Amino acid sequence: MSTQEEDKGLLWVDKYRPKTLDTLDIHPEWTEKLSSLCDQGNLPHLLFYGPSGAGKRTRIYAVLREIFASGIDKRQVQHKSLKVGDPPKEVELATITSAHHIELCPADVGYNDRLVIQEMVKEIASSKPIELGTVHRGYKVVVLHDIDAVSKQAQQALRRTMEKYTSCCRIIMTAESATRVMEPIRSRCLGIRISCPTEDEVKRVVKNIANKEGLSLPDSFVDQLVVTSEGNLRKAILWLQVSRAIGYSLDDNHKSINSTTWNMFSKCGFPWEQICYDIANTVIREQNPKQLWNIRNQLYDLFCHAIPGNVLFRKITTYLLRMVDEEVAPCICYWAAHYEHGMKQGTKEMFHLEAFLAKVMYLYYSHIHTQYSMALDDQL
Amino acid sequence: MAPSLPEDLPWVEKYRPNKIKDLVYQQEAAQLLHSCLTCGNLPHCLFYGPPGTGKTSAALAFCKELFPPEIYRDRVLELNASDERGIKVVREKIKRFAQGSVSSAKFEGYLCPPFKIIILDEADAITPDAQTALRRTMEQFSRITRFFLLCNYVTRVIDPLASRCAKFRFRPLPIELQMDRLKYIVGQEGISISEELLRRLTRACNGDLRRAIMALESAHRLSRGNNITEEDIDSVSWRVPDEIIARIDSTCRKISSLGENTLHFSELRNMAMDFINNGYPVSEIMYQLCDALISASHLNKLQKSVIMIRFARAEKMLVDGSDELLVLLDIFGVLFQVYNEPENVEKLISLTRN
Repeated sequence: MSTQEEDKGLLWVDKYRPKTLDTLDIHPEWTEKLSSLCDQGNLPHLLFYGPSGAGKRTRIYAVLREIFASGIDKRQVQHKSLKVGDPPKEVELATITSAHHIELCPADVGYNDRLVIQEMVKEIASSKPIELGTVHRGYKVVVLHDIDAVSKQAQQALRRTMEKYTSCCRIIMTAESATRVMEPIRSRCLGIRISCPTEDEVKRVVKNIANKEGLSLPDSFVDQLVVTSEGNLRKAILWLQVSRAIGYSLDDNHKSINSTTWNMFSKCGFPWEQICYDIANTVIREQNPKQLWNIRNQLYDLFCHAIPGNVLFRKITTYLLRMVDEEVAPCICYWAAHYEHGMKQGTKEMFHLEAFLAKVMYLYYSHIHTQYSMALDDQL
Repeated sequence: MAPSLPEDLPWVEKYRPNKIKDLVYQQEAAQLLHSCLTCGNLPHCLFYGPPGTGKTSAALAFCKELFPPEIYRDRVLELNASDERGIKVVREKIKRFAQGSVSSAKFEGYLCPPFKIIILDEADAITPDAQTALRRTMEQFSRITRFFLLCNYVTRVIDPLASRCAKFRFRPLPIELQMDRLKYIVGQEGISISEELLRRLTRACNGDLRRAIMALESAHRLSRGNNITEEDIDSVSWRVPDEIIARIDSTCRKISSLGENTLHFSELRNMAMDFINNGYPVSEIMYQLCDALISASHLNKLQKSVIMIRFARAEKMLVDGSDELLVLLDIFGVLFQVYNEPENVEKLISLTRN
C-alpha cells in the first residue's frame, strides 16, 4: 500500500512513466533494438535525439534498468560544487546519482560548461566503478542532458574523453537537435532518433491513463488534446491532469459546462502560446507603431515568464505562416531565420524579436497595398 | 586502471592500428614515420584533415613503436581538448615536460631515440594566445622534444606554429580502402553483410573511417546477430532516408508543373514541421538535398546558383546555432520561390540580396 500512497503526490507524467523496456508504449521498432543492445551487456556510447516530449529520458532510464537492474532505483539529487579554472571559480551543479550512473546537464552552468566537462566528466570517467550488489558490469554510465546546448569548446573537450575511458565508462547523451552536436562526437556514438509519437499513439497513451484514473474521455476532447499537444506526449499528459484539476468535467456535454476554459484550451494550449497567437494576430490585423508598442508590452510579459527567445521565434513564425498569403510566406521565413540568427549572436533578445515583427508588418503592409492597387487597376 | 578484456572494447578501439605499417592510405605521413622508425630522427609534425582519417591513430601507433611500455609515460605526453590547455599550462606543464632530459637507456626491439614526444591533439582548439606561447618552447627544446600537432582545420593553427612543422594532409579515405578495412573487420568478427550494404554504409560516411566502423558495429548489435538490413544501416549512419529527399523533390516539382496561382507553400511548411517533429537533423537534410539538386537536370545554372547561395547562408546559420525549424523553412522558402517563378531572372537575383 505504501507505494500507492507515494504515487498519489506524483504528476501523472512521472506516475505513468514506463519503467522498463517492455512496457514502453511507443516506438516499438527501437524498443526491440535497444533490448538487443542491452542483452549483450556491453553498450556503445549513445546519443538520443529528437523533439521534446518524445520519450528520450524515459528510454534512457529503461535502458539503465535493463543493464543495472534495481541498482539504479536508489537515486539521489546531489548539489556538487567544484572549483574550476584559473583563478578558481566555484561552480554549482545539480546531479542525479546512483551507484551505477550519474546524470548531469552541463549546459546549466552556462559559460563554464567546458570546465565542468573537463573536470567532472573526466573525474567520473577515469575511475573504475565500485563493485556493488549483484550486478557488476565493469563500467559506469554518465548521462549528459541537452548536449546540443553546450558550447563548442565543451564538445571539443568531450572528444578524447569519450575514447580514452571507454574501458570503464559509457556516455549517454540527449539532444533536441543532432545538428548542433558536432561531427566528431556524432561519429563516436550510436545515434538513436526518437520521433514524435503519432496521433494514434498519443490517443492510445492518454486513453490508457484515463482508464487507470477512472475517467471517461469523450472523443472530441481526446482529438483536441492531440492537436493541442503537437506531438509532445508530456504536454498531452500534463494537459490531461490540468483539465482534471480545474474541475473540468470530462463527459459528453462538456461544452456547456465550462466553455471559457474550453475555448482557451481548444485554441492554443498554454497561456504563453495564447499570447504568441495574439501577437501574430495583431501584426496581421494592423500595421502601425502603436501596435508595435502594444506588442512590446506583451513581449516583456513573456520574457518575465522566462520563455526563451528562440521558442518565441518559432511559435510566432508558425502562427504567422498560418495567417498570411502564400506569396508573403517565403519572405517571412527568410526574415525569421535572419533575425533569429542575429539573436543567437547578440545578447538582447528583445531587439531582434521586435525588429522581426516590425519587418513582417512592413512586408505585409506593402503586400496588401500592392494587391489593392492592382485590383484598382483592373477595375479601371 | 586495469585494462579490460579486449572483447569488451568498441571496435573503433579494438581495430585501431597499432603499427605504422597498418596505417591505411596516408602514404606521405606513413612514409615519413616509417623512415623515422629506422633512422630515429624526426621533425615536428602537423597532421591535419577531416575526422576519422587516422591522425590520432598514426601519432599513437608511432609512439608505441618507438618506445617500450616501461618508459612510455616518461617519453610521451598526450594533451587533448579535454585537458586544460590555457596559456598557463603551456608555460608550466608543457615547458616542464619539454625541458626534462632523457635517459639513454636502451630496450630490446625498440629504437628509443633520445627525445620525447608531445602530442597535442585537437590543436585547433588551443587558444591563439597559448599557441603563441608555444612558439619559443618548440624551438628552444627541439633537441630533446618533438611535437605532434593534430587538427581538423589547419587555418586555425597560427602560421608561426605551422611553419615550424612538417605538414601532412590526411585525406578522406577512398571507398575501396574503407571497404577493405571493413571487410577485414567483418571477417574477424564473423558477421554476415552483403557487399552492397557495406558500400552503402561507406558512402554515407564520407571518408570517415571511424564513423564507418562505429556504424558497422552499431548495425551489427542492433540486428541481434541476424542479417543486417538496409534500414539498420540508415539508422546508424546518421543519414536521412532517401524518401525524405524524394518527398521534397516531388513537392517542388508539383509546384512548378501546376503553374501560376497554385501556391503550395503550406505543403512545404507542413513538411518542414513534420521533419522537425521526427527529429531528422536539418544539416543532413541539407547536405543530401544539396547533392540531389546539383545533379538535377530540371534546374538551370542561374537557378542552381541562387539556391546554393542561400544554402550557404543557411549552413552558416546552423553552425552558429540557429533554430532548425526556421532554417529549414528558409530553405524551403527559396525552393518555393525558385520553382514558383522559374523564369523571372530579376527576382531570382534579388533573392540572393538582403
